[in-house]
Amino acid sequence: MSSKRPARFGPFHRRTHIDPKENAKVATSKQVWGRRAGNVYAGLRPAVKAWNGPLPEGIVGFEFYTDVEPDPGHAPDWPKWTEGRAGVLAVEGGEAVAISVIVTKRQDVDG
Amino acid sequence: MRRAKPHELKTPAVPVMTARLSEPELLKWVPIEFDDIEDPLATPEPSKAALVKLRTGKYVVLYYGRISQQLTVEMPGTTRNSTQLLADFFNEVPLPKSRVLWHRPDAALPKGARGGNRAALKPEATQERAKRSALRATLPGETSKGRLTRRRS
Repeated sequence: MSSKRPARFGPFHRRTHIDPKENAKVATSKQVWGRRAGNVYAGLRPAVKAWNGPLPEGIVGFEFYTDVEPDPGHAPDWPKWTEGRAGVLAVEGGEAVAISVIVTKRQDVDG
Repeated sequence: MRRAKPHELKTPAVPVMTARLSEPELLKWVPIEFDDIEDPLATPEPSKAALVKLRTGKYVVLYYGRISQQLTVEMPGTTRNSTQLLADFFNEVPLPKSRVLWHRPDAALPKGARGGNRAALKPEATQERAKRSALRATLPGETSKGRLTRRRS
């Protein structure tokens, strides 16, 4: 592993065109949050989800690294960090979770 | 298959397979009602999702990303035989195996080109017969056109 990596795992990215304000929130808080993926089934737990790899050019979003290991057995393109795992913080009374991140790139709507 | 109600699956699910297909193909091959998930904290991209009960009584959770055009199939974490679950899935969903991008190492894809609901496949079937490479089975970490170059985390 390169010593230039700012954290153990990454790069990952999130695309935030639906809620561009998330870029500023994450840059300030240094946390990425996640909720349950809808109400698809009862066993669903809150998780942070992201795209694997660097943020592509021209895509609104942010790129990050983290020391929190993604869930084992996740699909290669879709890392996630689920409630109950080491380093995954419960927030909003357990309705959401968060992981600490280092943001390395940010692309806002207006450039 | 049928769309199941959320309370029918109380255990967490884990990914077993991903595949690339268009949204019209998804709706044709998996003819059930999907939920739309738009909350950016709930999903990495706008998605369709559903809990599905297969004819065998087993459950799968389906997520379809509308940007990536990737379908993620999840199975209950308590599933003992993930290979059999994939066989049951392909028996009802005529997804060409050439579309599979990844599957768990302990879950083998079923033998044979495709499974049930063959009537839904007719237009594509003619085209695929003309392109034999499209029917090639896909190994873990490979696409039909070669090895994935994306980095794993």
